[in-house]
Amino acid sequence: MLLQFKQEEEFFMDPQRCIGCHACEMACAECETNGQTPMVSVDYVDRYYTPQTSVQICMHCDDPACAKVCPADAIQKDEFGIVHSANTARCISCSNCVYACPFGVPKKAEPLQLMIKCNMCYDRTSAGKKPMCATVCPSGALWYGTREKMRELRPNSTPVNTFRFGKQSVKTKVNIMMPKGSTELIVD
Amino acid sequence: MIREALEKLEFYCAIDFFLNETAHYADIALAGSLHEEEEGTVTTAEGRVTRIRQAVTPPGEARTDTEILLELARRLGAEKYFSFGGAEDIFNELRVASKGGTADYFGITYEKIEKNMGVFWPCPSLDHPGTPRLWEDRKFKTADGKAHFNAVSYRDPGEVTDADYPVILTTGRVVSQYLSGTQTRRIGRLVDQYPEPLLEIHPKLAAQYGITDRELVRVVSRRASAEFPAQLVETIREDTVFVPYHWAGKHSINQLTSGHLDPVSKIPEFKVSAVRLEPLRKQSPPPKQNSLQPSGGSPGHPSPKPPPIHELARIPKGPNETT
Repeated sequence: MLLQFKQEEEFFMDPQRCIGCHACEMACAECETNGQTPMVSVDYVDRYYTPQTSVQICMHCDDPACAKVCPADAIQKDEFGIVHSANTARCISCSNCVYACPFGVPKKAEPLQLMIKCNMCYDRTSAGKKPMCATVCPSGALWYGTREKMRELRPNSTPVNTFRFGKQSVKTKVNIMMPKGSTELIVD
Repeated sequence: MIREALEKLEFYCAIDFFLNETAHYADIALAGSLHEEEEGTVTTAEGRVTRIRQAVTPPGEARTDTEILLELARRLGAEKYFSFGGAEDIFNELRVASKGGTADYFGITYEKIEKNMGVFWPCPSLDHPGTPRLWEDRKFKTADGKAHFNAVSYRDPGEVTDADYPVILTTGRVVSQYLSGTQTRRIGRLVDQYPEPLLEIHPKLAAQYGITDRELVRVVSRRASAEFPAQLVETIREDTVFVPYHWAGKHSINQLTSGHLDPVSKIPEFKVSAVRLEPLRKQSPPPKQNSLQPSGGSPGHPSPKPPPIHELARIPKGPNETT
């Protein structure tokens, strides 16, 4: 059987379930596709007030700001909606994408002078496997599978993939779990 | 107290995979092996017996615990009592030894562990599936067969706060470190998550002393004192400070804790000690990073010369790693 991208499977992110264990970061780094640099980040929301942590992966925007601002055309979205890390031959390390991303995802790897970011484990997902972070998350903050299964697991939540930043609306491939009936996440 | 006891020992032989702080007191330290270098089983905290397989062989003269114990037995002339071929033989002896006990391993075999992805004790017979959840049959091992709550009346801890030591100190863990840190303080990426022990303190208590975030504070108990950078958080009681215990030497908060024991269980009262705080009026320098982290980058700031790509794939050494 030909191993390929399972288009019926999607990424569902539920940051409030994040318990701050950093297993996603460690799994991402241990995979070594990114040279042991994790492409997913876990941070305290605000340690002064709460021990709550949150997790951020690349949301894989329909119309990615990172790609639009790239002067070298180094960032590409493929037919499955995956927004890929900068093409190493083209990236000029200008950091435009770092500043443009509304989710704060791309990072500049200073030693390499390259932008690197989460590509939803393309080496795995393109062969029908789940992204590393989703396979190790113990609390379901990062979950990869079918929409139907997610509905069964979290009947009181609705996956949302529209984010509103002021007057601008951003649609993403990755879903975020919101209270049942929600249609969009208003960021500011 | 523990140091004194270790110093008094006539002979102390340690088996450990790294020469940790305790092993420094040993007359002989035998190089043991890590989980990844061992063959056998591990019983998890939920009572599930799982298989571990040797992925790499122990480096240098290090040996698996089985090899060490068998060799010790041989040299002590007790070879005939330790005629084990390997970890599975020892496991089979555990099965017999635990038969009929609370943690009954008798019905657990390597084959069953592999087939069922682990087996929970008690598992009294070969056809028993194991017990993922205890007491589901509601038959408790008490005289009347019912579960009993053991009510206890409150008593003060062995050491309570007073005018000289007015603050409660509690100790505990952080997520990226494990117990004494022998393993985890060597892994740069884990160290970076929480590089040094911090003194968690409520802003109201901090304000009483004029303590600011990352200011060095000397914590003094009746036993000892140690200095930690303050971390102001609203998530702790106003009368209590917290310091995690995964560090050794002058960063060890356990120098300060009391030696009082619970009268029944004999568990030490590490969670409650009386201390006083002495702000040192100087900021603690930021901890150094061990692993290469990508940064947000900035076009205006020149970056250091890029290392070859293979450098990025190398595991950075932790602060305690010896070469």
